[in-house]
Amino acid sequence: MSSPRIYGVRHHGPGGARSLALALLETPPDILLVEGPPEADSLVELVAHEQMQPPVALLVYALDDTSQASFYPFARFSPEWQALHYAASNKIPLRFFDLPASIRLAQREDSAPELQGETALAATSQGDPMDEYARLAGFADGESWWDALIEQRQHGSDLFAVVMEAMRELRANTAPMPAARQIWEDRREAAMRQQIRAAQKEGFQNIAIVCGAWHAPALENLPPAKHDAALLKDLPKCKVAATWVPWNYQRLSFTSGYGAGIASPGWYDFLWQQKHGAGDSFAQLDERWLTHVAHLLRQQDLVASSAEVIDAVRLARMLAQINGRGQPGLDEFNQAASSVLCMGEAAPLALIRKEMIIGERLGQVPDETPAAPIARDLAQEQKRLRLKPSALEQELALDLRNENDLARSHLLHRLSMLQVPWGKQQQVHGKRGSFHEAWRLLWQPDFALSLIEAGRFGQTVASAAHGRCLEIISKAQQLPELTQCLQQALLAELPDVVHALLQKLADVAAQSADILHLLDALPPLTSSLRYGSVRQIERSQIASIVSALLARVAIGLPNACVHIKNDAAQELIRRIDALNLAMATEQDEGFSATWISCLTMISQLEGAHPLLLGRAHRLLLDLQALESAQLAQRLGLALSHPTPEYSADWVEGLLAGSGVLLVHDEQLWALLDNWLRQLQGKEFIRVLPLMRRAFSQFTHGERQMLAQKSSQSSTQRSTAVVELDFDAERANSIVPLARALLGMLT
Amino acid sequence: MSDILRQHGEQIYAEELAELARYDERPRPPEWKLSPWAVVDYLMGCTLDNNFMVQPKYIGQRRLVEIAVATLATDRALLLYGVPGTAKSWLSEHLAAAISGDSTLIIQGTAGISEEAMRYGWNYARLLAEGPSAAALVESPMMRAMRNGRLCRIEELTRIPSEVQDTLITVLSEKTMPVAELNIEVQARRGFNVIATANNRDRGVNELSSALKRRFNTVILPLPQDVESEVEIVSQRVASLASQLQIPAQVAALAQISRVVTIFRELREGVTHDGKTRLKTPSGTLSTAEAISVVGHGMVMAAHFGDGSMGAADVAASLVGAVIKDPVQDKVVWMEYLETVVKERDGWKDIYRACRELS
Repeated sequence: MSSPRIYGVRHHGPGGARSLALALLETPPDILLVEGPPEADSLVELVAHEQMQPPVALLVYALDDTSQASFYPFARFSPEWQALHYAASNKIPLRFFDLPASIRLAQREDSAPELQGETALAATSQGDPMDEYARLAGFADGESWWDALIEQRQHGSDLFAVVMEAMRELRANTAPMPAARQIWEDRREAAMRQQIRAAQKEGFQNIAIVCGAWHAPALENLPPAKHDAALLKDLPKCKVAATWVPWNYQRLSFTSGYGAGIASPGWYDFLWQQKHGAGDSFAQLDERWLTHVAHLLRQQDLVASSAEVIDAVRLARMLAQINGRGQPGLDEFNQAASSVLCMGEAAPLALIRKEMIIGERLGQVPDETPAAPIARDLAQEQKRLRLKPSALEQELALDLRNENDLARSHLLHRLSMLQVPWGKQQQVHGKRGSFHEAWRLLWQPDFALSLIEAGRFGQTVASAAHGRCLEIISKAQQLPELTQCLQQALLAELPDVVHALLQKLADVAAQSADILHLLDALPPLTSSLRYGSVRQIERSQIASIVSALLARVAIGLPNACVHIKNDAAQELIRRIDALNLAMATEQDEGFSATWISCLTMISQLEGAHPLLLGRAHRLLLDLQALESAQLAQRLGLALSHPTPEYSADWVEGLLAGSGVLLVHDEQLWALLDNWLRQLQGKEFIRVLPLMRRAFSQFTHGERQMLAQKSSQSSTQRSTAVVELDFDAERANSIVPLARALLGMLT
Repeated sequence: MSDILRQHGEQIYAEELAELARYDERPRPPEWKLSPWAVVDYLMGCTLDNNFMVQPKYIGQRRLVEIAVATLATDRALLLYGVPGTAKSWLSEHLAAAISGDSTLIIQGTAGISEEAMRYGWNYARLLAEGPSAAALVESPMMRAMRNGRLCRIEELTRIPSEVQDTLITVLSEKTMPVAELNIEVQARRGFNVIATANNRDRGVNELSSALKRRFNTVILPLPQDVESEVEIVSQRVASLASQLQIPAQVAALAQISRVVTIFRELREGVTHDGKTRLKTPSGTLSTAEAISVVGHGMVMAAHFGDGSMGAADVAASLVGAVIKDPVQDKVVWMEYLETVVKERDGWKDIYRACRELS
């Protein structure tokens, strides 16, 4: 029996993958042990399935709590994937030999280390231990050093001996990790050794081991089994299940916040496809990569000629020389592309980064793959809330004061955020208060698919909705999307996203030049401050955002009021009214002071639309920031404007909504009355529709009172001129009867 | 001491260049005075084997300088791009000084520049007396650089009208300059190349044609990376300005300078320095050079109209003027900044009030 062959690899890297594939061909093993959760052993045979397309990830999750989950992603250039593929297509057994996920996931509360926390190569507390080597070799970090040395070259199977040597050295000389973390690393390695022993005992002759390079030295010599058994004794366990899920390059990269990622999956994929060239390099690597870059730029209608590609290749090589590297790496390519092809601009570079360096490949898993945990979670929720999916449409009325109904509402809101519109919210008829919701439920078969898709955001409905929200937040450019998302998040009870959402909201608001968006954003914010189920921390955050937004509105709104057309002014008024209402309900002194000063500025603005001028005066009067004597003076000025339309618009702005003002303020009444009466025939006809529009918004009662008042004032006026001649004695004779009818008996 | 007001880079740092050349054993491109590695060292500063200190000329990313030097070693020309006050001309001068030992072959780009300045002119007296002859030819710096295998510098490339810019195309691609009148041509010797500088705030004025663009490698020079280095640059320059102009005021306190620099940086970058609040950016450049002039102006105000030490009120006037270049849009930006950032910040009350009074 030969001793096991240990292949220490970096989890994703074309160089390692290539060497491993080569090594497995050279010395075919009869069993493969691969770093990964043993619970996933049964899933290995799916690897050879024709529908299986990497990148995919092994997902292992706790059955009783699907939010406890670990991912083990693989790309086609991952050495582990090569091992899996080798095993599946040659029909030799493959076992995952890491610490079982049942132990790892059961420990989650004690902050057991996650696989995700590791760097791609190895795990230490001081970051990438490779950095040390890299610094000696004159590279910026371990990643680029490893790239230049391993991934970007062709190696034989002898690579692994060198890596093992380097790791042995590193392990001996790196400062120890914190104890809490060290114990878990020890347990993992103990579990691995136990599995090696088991395989040896079963009589396998050629054992091949594929594991993270960092662990390789620990598996070389097996200490007495007793030692390892003691380490693994009596660890709590939980029930777990495993499945394959589709993955993509975006999530393989660092940018998605996934720790065990790599910076440049697209670049590795490219390297993986390259052909062997002279020595240990690839054939025409520089030319090929930069030509790809040029093609990408041309697709976007950017100029990138062949001559420029030639120059970029030259510059990249020159840069590599200056840096003392044999051949240019990704850094040099990027700098050359930036300087030669992109005129130093950032946008095309970002495009190259997104499309080529990270890449957009999406994986696919076979239909036979076990169900995703999110479907399981939904089934549990449906059972808990007694809400059965049915293919028949049903009505559902929810009373949000009731706990179960509230949870149902949250579930339905969350699902609709995940594009699973099981329930459609209906308008609530009648005045039943804000704590009622009406839904129409209909379960469509294709929701199952949408649900699987939603699984990429999280493993439970709640966490997926949370993830989806975060995605919306990261993509949103405009305020309305964000305010809408905020409202949804509050309805769906996703308090954890609110903080991120508000931060983004503040950022976007600061850059938004569209005052209408700013105006629209404020009312929902203040109402969430007032009614929303936000927590105390967020409350102060919202308050500070509201005050910042309001300050911006106060500065920008006056500019938006000048030189605009009638329609735009009407739109603006609608929003100003909404904001005014929000301010009135909020009753914060600081806010209303800013708001009043903004309105005051508008009310005195040269060139502002008369509708807005009138409106600003009205709101100021209602806010008691304007004396009615002052208003009368301003109205007088407005009415003396040479064009009657101007005056009519002013009046409409002033009166819109309610006419009570006119009923009670004699002075205003008289001013308006006089103005109307002195209008000449043609002018009167021009103004009439405008006045009609203003008055049509009043309630029936108000209009009646106004009609009465106008008839009164006309009689008063006539009494001043004509003395009516009537018999006082006869009139007095009906007074007693009238008193009796009115119940005024004495 | 020389009575020349300002000496060329290769004169001031002659000793450094000589020392670098002495210890430089790496291969040099044809006609280069130093190897690319030594040029980078000259610009970024280093200590030689005999403990000789080479002063850093450019404070910033080494990578940018490497790209610039690598470009000049290929046959493409170099375009240094950046807002005013990012050391473009300075870098170009020292690159020429280190590579060719001569930074004087310079063409100043202006809106009124003619083709003669780029190619060659005539000595008209001679032309009339003798007819066209080589002796009557007046060479441009470009022609001299080609003839001698040197670097030619073009300042403010984008200020030059497009039709004049186009004369560069033959020079950069064919490396030759024909003189049709004499039926001769001047072919560039090895070592010839062009360093151009351009201001990216001028973008669109005389946009480079794509034919010309593709003959340049572009290096964008950024503004100083962090507050500390920018404050240092500003305070050094202000101190020298004060002694030069003999301003009878105390040199402004570091705290005041740091406030001005912070305001400039925050507005320029569109985010507060704590990274929490986003801001709109005004239309002006707000470069380090402008920060220097704001502080300088503040000191003059303090000296003549104040108590001699620069306070918030002394800076406010030129600060507002530097930020608000467009009376409508920039005013909104500035007011928003005042109300949402300056107002709330601890210890900034004085500057808030001073600015409010002005706007």
